[in-house]
Amino acid sequence: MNTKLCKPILNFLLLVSICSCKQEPIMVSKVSARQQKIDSTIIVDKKIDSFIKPFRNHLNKTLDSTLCIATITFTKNDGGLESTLGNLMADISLQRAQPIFKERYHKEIDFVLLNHGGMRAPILEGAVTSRAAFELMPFENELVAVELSYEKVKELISYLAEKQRAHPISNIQLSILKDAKRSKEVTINGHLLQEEKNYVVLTTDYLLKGGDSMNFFKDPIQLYKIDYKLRNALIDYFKSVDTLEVKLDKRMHYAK
Amino acid sequence: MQNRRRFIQQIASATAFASLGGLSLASCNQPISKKITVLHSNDVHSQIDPLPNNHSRYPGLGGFARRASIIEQVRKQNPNTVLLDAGDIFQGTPYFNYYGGEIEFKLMSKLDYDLATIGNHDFDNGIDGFLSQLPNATFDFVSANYDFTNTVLNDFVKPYKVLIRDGIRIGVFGLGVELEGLVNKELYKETRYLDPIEIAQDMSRILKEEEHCDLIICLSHIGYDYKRNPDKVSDLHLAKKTKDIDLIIGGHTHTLLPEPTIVDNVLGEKVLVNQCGMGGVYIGQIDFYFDSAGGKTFEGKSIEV
Repeated sequence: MNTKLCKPILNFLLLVSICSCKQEPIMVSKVSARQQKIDSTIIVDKKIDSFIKPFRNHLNKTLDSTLCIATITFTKNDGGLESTLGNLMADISLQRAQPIFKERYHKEIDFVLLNHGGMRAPILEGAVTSRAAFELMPFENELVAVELSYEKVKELISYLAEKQRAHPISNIQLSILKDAKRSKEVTINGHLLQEEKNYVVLTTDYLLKGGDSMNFFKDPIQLYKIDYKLRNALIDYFKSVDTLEVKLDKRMHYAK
Repeated sequence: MQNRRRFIQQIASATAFASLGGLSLASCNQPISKKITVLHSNDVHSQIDPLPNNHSRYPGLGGFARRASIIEQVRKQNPNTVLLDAGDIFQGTPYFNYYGGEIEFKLMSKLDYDLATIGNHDFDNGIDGFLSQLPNATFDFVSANYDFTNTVLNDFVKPYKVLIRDGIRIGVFGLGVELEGLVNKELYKETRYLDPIEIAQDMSRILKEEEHCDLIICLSHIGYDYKRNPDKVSDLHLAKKTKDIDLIIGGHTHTLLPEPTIVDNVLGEKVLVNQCGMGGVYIGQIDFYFDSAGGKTFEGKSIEV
């Protein structure tokens, strides 16, 4: 109370003193610093919390409402060179992006390649929610389609044969020679790879820019924007079905 | 007037402070001592609620409602406080995906932020998405090295702003990280990225000589330091290659410094560089004590960190 009343007077006095000290400008004389940890010992500001509350409640309700049911737990390390989670994500991407691509560009996506590291959480058996999609795909990666030459597709296949990692794929089948680190047979949409043919590959803008060293995606013959986030494709798919069912189908496997 | 203050690492600063007060009292009949408190956050990334308890680095830390209490407490102790944010306000929790940044700006306004700069993720809904949320922000944005001339943001983002607290002029300018390769061009459109060091040199000159600022702060989103790419422009480079900047508040690299780093600038004067991790898990507080220079016995400042 008192300080409030005194403040103008004080300010005036300071002003006067600054004026009288013109030759001696005010300067920093001392600095002190501290980083304050914001943990549970700090009291919650009730006004701020009650502002957040309706948004939080609405968000949680939206995020946690059941969109469909997972019949099994989908993980990314359950099938050698493929995985239930990877197959699910790659198949969903193709299924959701293909109609948009066809409508816009009057041609078809040939196959899908995403990255194993991009799957950030499993989908647990039972109720599948938007939160699960956010946890699986926290990044804002967009689906993009790229037209690659036969040579670049060969590079892509060599990459998969060399890394021998269960990167999510769809509509492409590879049999890999484990020790030779090369492919024995590759089919795309059921057909052997054709020379002189360009292929349209669905991937993400992250991999397009060389993420996970997938350099074959750089400088494609043609880049087709889909304007569809991978996470949104997942959520839209979850909403469109009753149950999630995907099998391991040896889409990438070691040759016997 | 332009005689540069020299930093002195003084452990016994309290005594020095007191004797100084005495000196200025004698020469001016009125001691001048003022205190400016700078509070700062960076890379809050839409972390409205505390981080989850299973978070790998900062379990259960952060949250706007707790930060609000701290800020209120600090302001009670010192009404001459400025509250700043070094960018990447957006992106990281579904709050952003669902509400587009509305909550972030509204909360920062309720906490009475003074200024923020623009981080790369603040372009995540495009410059149009950013502009559409600006009506929710009562605070201003500063960015000196993003040239928004040919964009919708042109009239909304200034290179710098001068805040006045207790008669002290505090010049704050913003710096942003190179966008090419980091952000889709469709999002940042015709925004031009200019060299942060050249711009910082211009800014510090303008703030010092034209705006007569007593304290110069750079709100930076260029990153603290890049160990794998040591030549990449960073806050440490910036501090070394400029002058007249008192404090660089950083962001982008999510660096949690245990205390501000002290760097010698181009004139050999000390600059503070600080950064507080991410998600609002910590809040930085820097107190600047001002004195009338009082002549010969004192022309420096000590730093206690």
